[in-house]
Amino acid sequence: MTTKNLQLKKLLTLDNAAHLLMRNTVPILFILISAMAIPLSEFSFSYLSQELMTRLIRNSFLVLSLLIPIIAGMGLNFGMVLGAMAGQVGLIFVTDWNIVGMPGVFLAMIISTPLAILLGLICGIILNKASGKEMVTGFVLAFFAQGVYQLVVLYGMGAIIPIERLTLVLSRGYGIRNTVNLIGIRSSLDSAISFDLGPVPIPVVTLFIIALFCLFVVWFRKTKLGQDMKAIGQDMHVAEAAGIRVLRTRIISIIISTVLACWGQIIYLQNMGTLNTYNSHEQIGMFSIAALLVGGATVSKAQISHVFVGVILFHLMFIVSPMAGKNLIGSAMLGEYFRGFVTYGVISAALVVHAWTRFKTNQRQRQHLRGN
Amino acid sequence: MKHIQNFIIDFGWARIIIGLFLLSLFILAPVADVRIDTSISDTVARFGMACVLVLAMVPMIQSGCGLNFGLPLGIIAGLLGATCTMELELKGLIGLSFAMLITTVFGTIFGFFYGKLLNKVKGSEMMIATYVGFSSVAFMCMMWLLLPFKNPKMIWGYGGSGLRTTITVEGYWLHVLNNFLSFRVSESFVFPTGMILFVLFMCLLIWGFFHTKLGSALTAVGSNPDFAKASGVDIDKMRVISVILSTVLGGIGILVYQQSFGFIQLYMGPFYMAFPAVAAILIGGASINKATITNVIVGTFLFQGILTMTPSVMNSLIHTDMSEVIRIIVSNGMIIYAMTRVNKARQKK
Amino acid sequence: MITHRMKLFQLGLVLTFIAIGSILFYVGKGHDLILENKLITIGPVTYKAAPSIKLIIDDQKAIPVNSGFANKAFVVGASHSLKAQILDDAGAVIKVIEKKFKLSLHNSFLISMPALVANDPKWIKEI
Repeated sequence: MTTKNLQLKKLLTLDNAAHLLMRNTVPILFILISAMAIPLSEFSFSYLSQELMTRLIRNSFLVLSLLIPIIAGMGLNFGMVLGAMAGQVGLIFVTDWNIVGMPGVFLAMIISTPLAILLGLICGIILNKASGKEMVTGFVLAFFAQGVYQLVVLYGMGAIIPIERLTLVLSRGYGIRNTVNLIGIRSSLDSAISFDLGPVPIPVVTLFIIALFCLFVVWFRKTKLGQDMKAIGQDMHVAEAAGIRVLRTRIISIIISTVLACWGQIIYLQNMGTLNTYNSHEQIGMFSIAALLVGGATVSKAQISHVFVGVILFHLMFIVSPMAGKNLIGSAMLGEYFRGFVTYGVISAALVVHAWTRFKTNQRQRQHLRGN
Repeated sequence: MKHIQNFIIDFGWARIIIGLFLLSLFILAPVADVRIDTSISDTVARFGMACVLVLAMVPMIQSGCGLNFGLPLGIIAGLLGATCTMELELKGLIGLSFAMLITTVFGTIFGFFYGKLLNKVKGSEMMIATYVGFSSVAFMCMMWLLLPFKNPKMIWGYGGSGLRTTITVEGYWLHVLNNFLSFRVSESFVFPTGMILFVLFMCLLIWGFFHTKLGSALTAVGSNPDFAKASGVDIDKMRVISVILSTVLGGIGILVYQQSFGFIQLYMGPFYMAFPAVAAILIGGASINKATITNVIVGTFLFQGILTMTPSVMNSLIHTDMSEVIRIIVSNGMIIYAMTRVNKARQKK
Repeated sequence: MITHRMKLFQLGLVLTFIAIGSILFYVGKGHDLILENKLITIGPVTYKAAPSIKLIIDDQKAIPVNSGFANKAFVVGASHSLKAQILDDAGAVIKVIEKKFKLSLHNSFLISMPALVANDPKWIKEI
């Protein structure tokens, strides 16, 4: 009896280890690549830790905003770009009105929130109509929204929407310039209370806001709404049968995510200090989603730890690839292309794994029904 | 009245709006001082350039694999065909034909693996397709830098290595199809007979294919998989064949595009090229699981028509170039519209 | 079911946000101040340029506004104070004028040194 138990225990630990390895292939792969690339890039530890800290506080909020739709079974919310655009519109107005410092940042959040709610509502309604293809639709919706954003910002502002400060406007008389200097609110959240840990500046206020958000996510999971979303995420039909208003709850999850993406983009931009009016939001969706997946999250399961691990790993590779490529082959372009390839490859891998497991589960269920 | 009502519901309000929009642009053209013959010339040329790429959507839609957002993979096969042919210094129609041959080989190989992948992820094909497309473009970005091409017209100057971002096909097969049997209609309108003939030939080929036994089996797999299975059709094999077809057509499509456009666009060029093709076929009346050759021709014409007419007409009328914004809104809006329609159609049944 | 209470609560929330937004707007509004020490005509009176002045606004560093020249400053918010140190040719402080002022929501203001020295009520105006 005892030898059998021992053998069983051995099997369990080996099996567990293998399982752990399989489930976390993406982050492990990333750690391996980074481990090779870091020494190649010849960056110093202090430089890397400084850069990582900056990117961590810049991006965490945005990546955190992706959690709630995953819980609700909506998959990766590519529609977060809409929230980012709402935040940018808010920042354009705040810059126009010359409101500076922390009041500027919070005012931008306040005025862009209604816009973000509206956009989230529209996004949620469209995603509900495209049931089963939420991610592709969200993906295309982000591009569509960019067109509308350009319509408003490149043509409407200055012409129909009054802009006071003409320095923001293009020389032709209407339309916002390509770059907006956010010098008024630059680092206002970060520098408000900050101290240096060695070479690394620690922005207390921003970290506090991020921590608050994490607490919010933890609390939210325990509320009825959070539990409803989890139920919908597991099985829409069972949730419907249990009396949960599935369509309405899904829309709410998208609205919350969009508003959080809006605030996250404002935090991101106050750290950057400059707004690339037509580009800042473009890559945000892609990079945030890639970062989350690198942290070990999947399309159907994500936790707060995935967010931070992912941001650190993803941006680590992001920073070192160009220099590693340059030192290895003599071309920084290669490093940059490599980093692009890894970004898209990671998302592809996660999507394939998710789709494959979903397909297999459906298949098994059908076989079960057929009585195999 | 009922007939008209049914037609409107089937055809969709979005398409009617787009059709009327294009019509109004043509009507406004003389008012805006835009020459009709230039406009028609441009539209016809662009129609020919884009048609085969849109045609590439049909096989995968018919077999139930959804919209081929992974078209860049096929385009890459085409780019490889073009670059290899240029490297071998083959010119003219022979060069183009050789390029098509190489493209077909690469396209078949790529399509095979791509198809196998899609079979494993049934139900989420479109999302996977998009990212397969993106990843392959990103991967090829690295490859274009590393592959050992030697033709000085293709690589960076001053003894650099790696291909240039845009390579001109002038001197090789520029306008080879366009100029074949071309005739002059007016001062600035040369009808690109060769290209149009070739494009129509491809359409006929595909139309014919779908009326063969294999083609009907493919359609059955998409519209009624259980019936297909019961008839002894290997669903997975049919899907792979459709993916191979789409990929190869994508490669040939980009070759037709290049000989008219004049440039081979590498690196990030093909990145977003699936979207206009998807939008075009949807505008033409296709849905996510049903597409006909008529959809291809009508859709390409409407879409390219809007792309050609909007800048010139709008520019003259309101002195603003809103063409980019309109292109984004129309193409992506059309795709979203199609995505949200499927449910309604199924619910009706 | 959306009850009366919930609707009232939502309304209250919206009003609170509007209120907070307005406060933030007021508190965070930045103003450009142009400090001019040149000839200026206010109404019927014309003032000649004053002697060189060192201007201290709130707790900021002293800004030199020399006779015949102009300088600029930036402040945030509505209520401010300034200290004008009038200098003689050697650079020593002859006289000090202190003033408290409240700014409207306008973007830029002009502070005229000669008007300030002469204690003209319109020493600061919107531009």
